[in-house]
Amino acid sequence: MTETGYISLYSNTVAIMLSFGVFVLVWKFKIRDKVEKRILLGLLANIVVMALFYILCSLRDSGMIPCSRIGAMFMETGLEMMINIFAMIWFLYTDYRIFHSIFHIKRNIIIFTVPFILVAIMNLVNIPTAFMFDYDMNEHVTVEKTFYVIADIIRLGYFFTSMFVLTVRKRRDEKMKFFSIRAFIIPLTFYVLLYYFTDYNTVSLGLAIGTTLIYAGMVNEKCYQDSETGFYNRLYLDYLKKRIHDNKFDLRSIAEFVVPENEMEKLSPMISKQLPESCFAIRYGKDRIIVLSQVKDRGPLSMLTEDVQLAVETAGGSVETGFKLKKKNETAESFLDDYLKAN
Amino acid sequence: MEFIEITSDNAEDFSAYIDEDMADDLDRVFFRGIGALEGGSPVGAIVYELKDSENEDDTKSRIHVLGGESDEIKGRLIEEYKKGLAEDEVLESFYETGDEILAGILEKNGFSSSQVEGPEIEVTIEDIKKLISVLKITRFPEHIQSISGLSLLQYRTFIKNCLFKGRHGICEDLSYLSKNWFEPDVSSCAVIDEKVEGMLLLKKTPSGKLIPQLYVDLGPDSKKDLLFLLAHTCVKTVEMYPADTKVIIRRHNDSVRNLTNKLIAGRKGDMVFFGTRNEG
Amino acid sequence: MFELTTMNIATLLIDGSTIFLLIGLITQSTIMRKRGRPDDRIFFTLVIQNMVIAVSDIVTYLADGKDFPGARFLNMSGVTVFYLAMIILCMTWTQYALVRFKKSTMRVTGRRTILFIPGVLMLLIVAVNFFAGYVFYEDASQGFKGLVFAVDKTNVYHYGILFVPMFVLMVLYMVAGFALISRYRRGDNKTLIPVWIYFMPLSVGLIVPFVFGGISLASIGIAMSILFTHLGSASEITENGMEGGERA
Repeated sequence: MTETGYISLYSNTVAIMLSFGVFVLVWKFKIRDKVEKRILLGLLANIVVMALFYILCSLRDSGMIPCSRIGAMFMETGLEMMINIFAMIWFLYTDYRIFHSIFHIKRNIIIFTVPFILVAIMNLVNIPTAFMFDYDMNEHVTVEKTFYVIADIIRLGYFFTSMFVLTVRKRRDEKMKFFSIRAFIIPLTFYVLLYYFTDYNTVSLGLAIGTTLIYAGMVNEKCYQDSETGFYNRLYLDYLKKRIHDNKFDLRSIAEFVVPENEMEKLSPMISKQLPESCFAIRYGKDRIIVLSQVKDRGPLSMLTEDVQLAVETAGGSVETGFKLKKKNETAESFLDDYLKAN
Repeated sequence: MEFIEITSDNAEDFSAYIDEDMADDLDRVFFRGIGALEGGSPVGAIVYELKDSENEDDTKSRIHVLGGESDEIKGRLIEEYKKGLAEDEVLESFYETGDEILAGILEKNGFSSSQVEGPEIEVTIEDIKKLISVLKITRFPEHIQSISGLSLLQYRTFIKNCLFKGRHGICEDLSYLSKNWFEPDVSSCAVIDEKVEGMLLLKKTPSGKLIPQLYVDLGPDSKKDLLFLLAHTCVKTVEMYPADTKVIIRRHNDSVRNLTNKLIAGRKGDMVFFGTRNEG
Repeated sequence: MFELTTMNIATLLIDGSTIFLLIGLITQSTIMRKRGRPDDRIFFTLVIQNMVIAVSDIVTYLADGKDFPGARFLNMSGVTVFYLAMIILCMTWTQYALVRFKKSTMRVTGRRTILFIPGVLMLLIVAVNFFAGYVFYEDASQGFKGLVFAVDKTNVYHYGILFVPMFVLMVLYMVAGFALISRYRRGDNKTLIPVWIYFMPLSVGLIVPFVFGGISLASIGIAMSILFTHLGSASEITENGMEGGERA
């Protein structure tokens, strides 16, 4: 076996083991957002198949699998398809991560899929025509041509666009603060550059590590959630306190909902449904949910407490509601501290 | 002279000073009215609106209407008005009027005065027809519809989302207004997966004017949907209202100003008198 | 002179990937560590130990068989650190399983002391072996190949008489950890992650090179096993509310 083949075998075997293991973990992972879970599973399954194709191509290049030129082209095309599919699923994943909307994906389905379908057709047409790449049966190497570069540019273009959009969005959206783009991009960039400079097929290993770290980030973020209700917990409150202290979160009001402890799990979905998107609901103690927000007017808070009261009472439960507005000469930090001390 | 509170119940008595549109607004949470009576007959009225009264910012008051049989009555009304401000902790009053005489009276009572381009522009049905042709939208996606089909929960959820993001259009009392306060067939909304993501709400005044109150989209495709909402409302307005209907657009911030400059180029507001007075 | 062989490159890649993965894991578990739970702290220790294993593995493979100045010293040091870290990791793994799954305390007292005595003894033997297998060792013709392993004058690594017992001891500690996980996970819930996921990578990493030769996959196998165990149990136990929420 050649050196390249040997390295490729090791790195892709590791990629398969890692991706498969994480696939099982994600499969069993009880994530509220089923769409995000399915997309992540798709990415991982894709990596496994991609790594298998890489191994196949390495064995072919080492002469350990006898095959004809057409067979070699099919293998290479299969690999290219897997890379295309990964890039497309990744783009869908970033869109969904930002907007959490299937509707947005459906509405923009043409932008999301047409270029990849185009590249896929080019790959299929390439099998008999070899206008993108060809397989040299003597040297056992794939020879890439100009059109291959175009396909690569399309894939990379989509990939970097999604990274850029994610980065911009992360700055604006408080709830995306924990999504680590670097955790994915750094390993992937490293292994892709290694591939370009050395010909070692390490791309799938980079993708496997990156995707694993995304999953690790999701589990990490779960530590901020109260397991019973799905609201944020004390750890997140400490995090928000720090952000308030650094003037990165302008706390102006606190609403509170006191529910009997034995009813908390049953009533929390009803309360959750009434909460606006841009506020932070934290389970504070066994029977209390506090909602921190930047709204400064009485009206919206009254609306919120009325709606929660109605929803809970309709469900046969009971809740005590209330809210406090930050006073003019009070800092956000002291406003929160005073509230927490009093409760 | 006697001073009484004007509400929507007795507003008709002061119809010489308060038009029907302003009388209708007296029902709203932040509007206040003081009437002057002499010998039991109405001789004057002042209507004002509180701004930022429910938050930590300095509360302001905008005088909408000041009318009376004489300048003396108007002056007395202003004094009575000042007494009322203390209760609401108002720190500054301001006015905006096209009436030069009123501006003069207010200036005599301690208000500053300057002439500026008013924020309101008036648009006709004919203008709206031109706007429809500019927008070039004739077919609407399924998710763009009138608000008449919305449930109370859907409406309130969206309004809450708007308010918690600090968006309330020109209605500071948006949280207190019911869905029925707006025109149901002309006001549009964008509903995605049963959730309202955007709205363009119009109010029809008793005198028949249409006033856009809120124009927001919070969804993933907000730029596209805002155009659809606008086009949908325009089409419905042209369908349902006579040619002499007036639409008053209040350009209360830069984004509305930029939008109107783009869509209705060259339209300027009337010159108005604007002034403030410190009440602290 | 120093030249990178195919094995060297493969080692660099695999162990480098291990380090990459573990560094990424540390950055993606900051919130978990803030919880201050004892098992999170042990997990962090496991990660560091694994990184030490990966680095020493790289040093060993790069130095083995080479003749540049200091190569033999590097080789022996690398292997010594590697095995010390492996033994410590195996013991820490058992401790992790006890604290995480059996909900034991962190303190090593009573029966637990007895459990870890063989490991501590083996650590001393490996430490002493540095002298036996390097300082006082010349070549295989002496018939004595150190206690656990040795590196001869030509910088080639040899297994010693206590190598197999050391290997068996490490395997026993790892198996004990997995047995504890198997025993003390709540077995009546359908969403539980299959136990084989936890020890599959480690088994492959240890057994395959031992049987077929080639580079060591121990570090990446361990990394995957501890990654899967920690993240898998974190998600399944938190979801099932078995430990309750982290409430304010």
